[in-house]
Amino acid sequence: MFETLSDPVDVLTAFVEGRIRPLRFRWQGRVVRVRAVTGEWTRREGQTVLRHYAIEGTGGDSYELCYDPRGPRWTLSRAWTAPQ
Amino acid sequence: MILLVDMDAFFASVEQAHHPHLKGKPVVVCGDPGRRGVVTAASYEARPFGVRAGMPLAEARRLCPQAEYVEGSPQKYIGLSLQLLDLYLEFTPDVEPFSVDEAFVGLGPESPALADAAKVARRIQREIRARFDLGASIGVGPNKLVAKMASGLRKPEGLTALDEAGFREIFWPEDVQAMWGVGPKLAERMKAIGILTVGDLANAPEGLLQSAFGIIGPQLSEAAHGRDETPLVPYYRGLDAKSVGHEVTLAEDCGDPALLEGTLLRLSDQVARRMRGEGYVGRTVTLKLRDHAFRTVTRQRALRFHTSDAPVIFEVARRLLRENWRGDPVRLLGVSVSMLGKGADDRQGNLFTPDSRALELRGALDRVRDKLGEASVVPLASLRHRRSLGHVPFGGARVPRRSRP
Repeated sequence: MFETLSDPVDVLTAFVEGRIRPLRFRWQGRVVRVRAVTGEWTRREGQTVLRHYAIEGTGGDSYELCYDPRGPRWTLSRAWTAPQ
Repeated sequence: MILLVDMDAFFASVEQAHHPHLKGKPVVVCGDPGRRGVVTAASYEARPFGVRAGMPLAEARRLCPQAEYVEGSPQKYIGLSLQLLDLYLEFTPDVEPFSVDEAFVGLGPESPALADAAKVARRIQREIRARFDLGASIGVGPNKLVAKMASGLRKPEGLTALDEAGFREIFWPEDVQAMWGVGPKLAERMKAIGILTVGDLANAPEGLLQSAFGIIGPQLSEAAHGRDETPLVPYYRGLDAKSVGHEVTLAEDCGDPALLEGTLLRLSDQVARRMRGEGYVGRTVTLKLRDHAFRTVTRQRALRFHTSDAPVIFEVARRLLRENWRGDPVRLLGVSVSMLGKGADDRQGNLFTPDSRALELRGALDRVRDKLGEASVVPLASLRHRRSLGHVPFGGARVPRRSRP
């Protein structure tokens, strides 16, 4: 089930070939490890360019993260978690 | 040679690529799945159930309750579309976006033979799959018309290369409505004079076509032969818009005049902002009104001057609403401005002339929005409408909530 969210999250990232690469993030008290970045796109909000990432977690779950350089801050905007 | 690259079930395929658990499953992209709306896109897995773009969401749920209903993200699809254009530009500078999920790709004045163009098309298909995990169907032809019509022959991930002779062989036996640009009404008129197939159209006497369809008659015949002189316009050169418009399907059918006018104010504001951003002024305001029974009315009014001022556009749209709305619950509202030109308002000496302070204020508000985003300043009277859609100004974020499965 998809959840549409606006949750601030802490994200551990790497810079790979000049690009941000989310590696893992903490959400609802647990750490989600990133298996793959399945998509990237940008969106403008005024002069600010927000960076969006579609993420596949190691548990078969998937997410969308947004990086806002104004904070800088990360937000989890969408989550799909596999049924237990 | 020209290619038409058509992304297969683009929005639904993007969601499947970004969320691997959706692969192989019926996926329906829509607005907020918890609200009323229409299907924006259906994956290939959803189509055998009869789900189609434009269908009311309630009907889609009845036909395919097991599908995943995913809220679409226009910004995401536009972002992906721009990345795809960048990919095509690696092959040629002659790229003309045709829609968010289609683009014409020209292979230069010294065009390769059909078979070589098809090889380029195959490489583009492979790159799209490798980089984005998306499928594209490509038509290859000597002109835009043949490329476009060929692209629809094999899907998904099809590749069809046709020259004019191949075009005639494939399309001449087809119903005349198979022609690009021939809709149901035009097809009906053609059938009334005995033109049933594309071949009939190609071979119809010129005099008959001219008397029945005027100056487009001979053009229709040329098109039916697979001939088309329309130039490919690379997007870096740009094309002037013919109109600027916005429309919205309301969360529920609405008979409240205040909410409808608040919606018109928001739409007029969006239209005016876009016009100013692109340097346009316009002279004709059009209102689109669709009621609960899907009856659509469009009414327009010409101004005596050009403008890009939201209050002026809103005043005209509101008058059109008051004159044409009979009180039936409204499903959709739209506002557009046409007869566009480049330049500034030319309202000297009439009642609508804005004073310099009003213009300064408008400029200042535009600068605030340029810097902070569209939701940073909104017309007060549009707030109720925004709330009804779940839009929250001052940050533009939507109220967090749990979506339905």
